[in-house]
Amino acid sequence: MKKHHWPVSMAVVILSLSFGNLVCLADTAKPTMHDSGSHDSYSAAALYNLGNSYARQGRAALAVLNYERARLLAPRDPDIRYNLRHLREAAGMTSGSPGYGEAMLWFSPNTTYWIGLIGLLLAGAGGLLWCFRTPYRMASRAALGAGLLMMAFTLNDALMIERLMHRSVVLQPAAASAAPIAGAQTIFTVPQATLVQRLDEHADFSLIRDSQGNTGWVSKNQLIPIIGHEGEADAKT
Amino acid sequence: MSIVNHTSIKRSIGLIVLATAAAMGDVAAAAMTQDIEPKRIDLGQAAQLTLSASGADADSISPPMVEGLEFVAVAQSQRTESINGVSHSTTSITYQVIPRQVGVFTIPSETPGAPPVVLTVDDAGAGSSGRSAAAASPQASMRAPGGNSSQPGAGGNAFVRLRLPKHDLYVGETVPVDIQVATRDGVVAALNGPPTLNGDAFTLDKLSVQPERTAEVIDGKPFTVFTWHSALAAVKPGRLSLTMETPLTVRILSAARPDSGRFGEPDLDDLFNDPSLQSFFGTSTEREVTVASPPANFSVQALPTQGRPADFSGAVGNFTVKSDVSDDKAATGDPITLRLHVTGSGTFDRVSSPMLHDVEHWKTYAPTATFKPADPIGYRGEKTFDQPVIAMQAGAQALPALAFSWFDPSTGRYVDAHTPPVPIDVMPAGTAETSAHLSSSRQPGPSTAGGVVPASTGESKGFRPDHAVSGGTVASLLPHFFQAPYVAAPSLMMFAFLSVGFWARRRERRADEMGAARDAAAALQTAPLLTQMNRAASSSNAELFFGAAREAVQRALASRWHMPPAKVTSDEAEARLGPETDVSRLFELADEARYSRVQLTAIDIKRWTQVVNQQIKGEIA
Repeated sequence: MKKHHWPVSMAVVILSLSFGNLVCLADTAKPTMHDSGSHDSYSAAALYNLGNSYARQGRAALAVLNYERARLLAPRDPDIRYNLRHLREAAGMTSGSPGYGEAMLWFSPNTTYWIGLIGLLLAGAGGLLWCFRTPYRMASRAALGAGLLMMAFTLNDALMIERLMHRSVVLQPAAASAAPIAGAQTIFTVPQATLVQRLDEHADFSLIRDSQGNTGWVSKNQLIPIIGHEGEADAKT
Repeated sequence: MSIVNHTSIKRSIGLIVLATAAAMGDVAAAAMTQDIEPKRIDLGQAAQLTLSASGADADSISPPMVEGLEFVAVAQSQRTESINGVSHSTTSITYQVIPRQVGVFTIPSETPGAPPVVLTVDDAGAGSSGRSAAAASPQASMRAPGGNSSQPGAGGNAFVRLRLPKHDLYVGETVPVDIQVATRDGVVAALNGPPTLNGDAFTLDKLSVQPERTAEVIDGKPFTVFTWHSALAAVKPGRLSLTMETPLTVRILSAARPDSGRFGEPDLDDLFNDPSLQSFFGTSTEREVTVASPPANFSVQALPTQGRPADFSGAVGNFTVKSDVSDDKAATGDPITLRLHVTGSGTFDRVSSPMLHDVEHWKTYAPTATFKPADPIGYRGEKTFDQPVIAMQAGAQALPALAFSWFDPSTGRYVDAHTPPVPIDVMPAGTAETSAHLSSSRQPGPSTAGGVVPASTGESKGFRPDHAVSGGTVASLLPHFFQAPYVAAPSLMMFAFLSVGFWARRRERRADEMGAARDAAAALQTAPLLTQMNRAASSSNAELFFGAAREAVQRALASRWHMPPAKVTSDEAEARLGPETDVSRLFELADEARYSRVQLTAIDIKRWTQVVNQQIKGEIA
C-alpha cells in the first residue's frame, strides 16, 4: 500500500504547481487601472455603457461595435442583447448577421479557456494515476474522462472563436469592389454598422463576406475589427 | 461759466489725445506682416498669401483688395509665446490667391511703411490663346512655378512636369503637388500607368485614382494633359532632388515617312509631321517608353529639437484648435462627448491628441478620431477627436484644457496650443428636476436614414439603462486562446504531465529489465540445486530434497535482497515477507527433515518444487 503513495503525491504536486500558474495568469489579467478610459482594461459594463452612449448620439457603427465587444465578455447579459437588437431594428438593419454563434451564449471565450485548462489538469492527473496503476482506478478514470470532455468543449469553442477573430463592423457605407485596387468596379454596397467576415487581405483592402453571402473588396479604413488591436481600431474611427 | 467750459474743453482734448495714443498703441501692437508663395505663377494657378498680425485677433485681419486677384481664406492659426513671463500671440490667416488676368500685381501692406508683395502672373495657355507656334517651345510654355520646367520626352511628343508651391521643406512636412503628363495627340497611344516617384528621399501619398484630363495646344500642336493630385513629403534632410516618370506607349512611323525638315519651312514640316497625315504615307508601330520629369531640387531641413513640446506627435502644418462638448449640462452617470477640432492644412495623419486621462470626478473613455478632408488629397480639412466622458459627481464641474502641438513650417517654430477648460453643470441623477432640466436644455440630434440611428433626446428611447461598472475587467479583448502567456500555460502543463508519465514508464521498464536479469542469474545459480531436488525426490530423500529446496530459495532471495545466502534465515524471511509464508514453512520443513524423519509424498514434492520455482522467478514477493 505504501508503494502507491508517491505517484499520488506527484500528481498533487503538479496540480499545485499548475494552480499556482493559473493564479499568476489571473493576476496578469487584472487591470492596472480599474476605471480608466484608456485601453488598460475592458469591462462588459463599461463597453455596454459606451455602446449606449454612441447609440444615443446616433452613431450606429460604434454602438454596434461596443455592444458586440460587451457581448463577448458577458454573453448572457440580457440588456446587451436587447439594446443590440433594438439598435438594429431602429436603424433598419437586417438581423442576418447576429454576431457570433448562439452556441457561444453560455460562456465567454475566457471562461471557456479556464474550463479547458481545468479539464487539462483533470485529464493529466487522471492519466498519471492510471499510468502508475494506483488503486484509485475509478477516480482516475472519472478524472480522465471529465477532463477530456472539458478539453473537447474548449477546443470546439476555440475553433468558433477563431472565426470571430475575423468579424468586423462596417464604419461607413462601404462600396465592395471586384478587385483590391482603387477604382475597381463596385459590385454591391455594405451598409454601415453591418457585421462582415474578413476572408483575406491585400494592400489596403480586405475581402469581406456579408450575411447575404456576397463577397467583395472593401477598404480597410471602413472596417473595425471586433477583436484585434483595439487601439488601432479605435484610432481609425 | 467760462472757466468751466475751458476746463471741459481741456478734458475733452486730453481724452482725445489719450484715445489717439491708445489707438496708435493698438496699431503698433498689431504689426502686420505678409508673405506670398510662390511669387510667380501661371494663369489658372493659385498662390498662397499669409497675413500675420502680432498681438491682434483674427477679426483684425482682412483680405487685401487688389483688382484682378481673388482672395479666399483657407487656413487660420494662432501662436502664443511666453517670453520672460510676458505672453505674446500671433494670428495668421492664409489666403488662396487666384488671379483673374495676366500681369504683375502689387499687394499693399496694411502696416504703414512695410513693403508690399508682388505677384507675377504669366499666361500659361499661350498656345491655346492664339500664341504662334514658333513663338514658344514646349519648355517655355510649360514652365511650372518654382522653376520646374518640363523636359520633353518620346521625341518631344510627351513630357512630365511637376507643380509645387515651394521647394524649401521640413522633414515630415506635406505639400500638395500636381503631376502633369502631357501627351501629343495621335502619337501617344496609351498611358501605361500612373506616374511613379524615383528615389527614396520623398513619399507620395494619396495619389488621385483618376487623373484630370484637359486639352492644350503647345507650340501649335495638340496635347492632352493628364493631372494627378497628390501630397509630397520629404523623409530626410539635405539638398534633395526628385523626378517623376510614367510609362507610355507611342506610335512610331516605320515607313514612307517624310523627312523632318525636308521643306526647310517650319510650317510645312509641321504639316507633314502631323500624325494624322503620316498615317496616309506608311504604317506605324507601337513602342513602350518611359518619360521622366526634369529633376526638381529641394532644400529639406530637419525639424528643430529646440523648443519641441513634449506632446509633439509629428504634425507639421498650419492648424487651429478648438474644443466643445455635446451638452454643457449633464446628470451624474450620463455620458457626454468632448470634442477637439483641429482645422487647417498639413500632415493630418500625424495629428493626434491623447485627450483626457484620469480626471477627478470624471470617467473617461478612449477617444475616437474622424477626418473630413477639404480637398481630394487630404491636405486641408478638419480632424475631430470625440471622447465620451461621464460625470461622477454632481456640482459645477469643468473638463480640463486640451493640448495640441505642431510645427509651423511658415515660421519655423513649434506651436503649443491649449483650449480653454469647459464648464459643465452636473446635476444628481434620477431626480425629476434633473430630467426636466436636461429635457429642456437638450436639442434633438440629427435624424438620418440608411443605417444611422436617430439620436435620442434626454433619456434613451427604447434602450435599457446603463450598468454600474464594477469589477469583471480584462486587460485585452483578445481571447486567452490567442495570447502567448495563456497559450504557454497549458503547453507547460501538458509537457509536465507527459514528462512524468514518460519517466514512470521508463522507470517501470528498467525495473522489469533488472528483475529479468536478476531472475536469470538466480536461475543459473539454483539450477544444480533443482537437479539435486529432482534426484532427491526420485529417491524419496526428504532431508536432501528440503535442504536443496531451502538453499535454492536462500540464493534466490539473497540475490533479490542483495545479501549473502547465509543471512537469509527463517527470521529474516518472516521479517521481510511476513509470518506464515511458504518460505518460512519451507525453512521449518528443512530443519524437521534434517533432525527427524519426514515422509515425502508426491504431493509435497510437486507443491514445494512449485514454491521453489516461484521464488526463483520472483513471482511471489
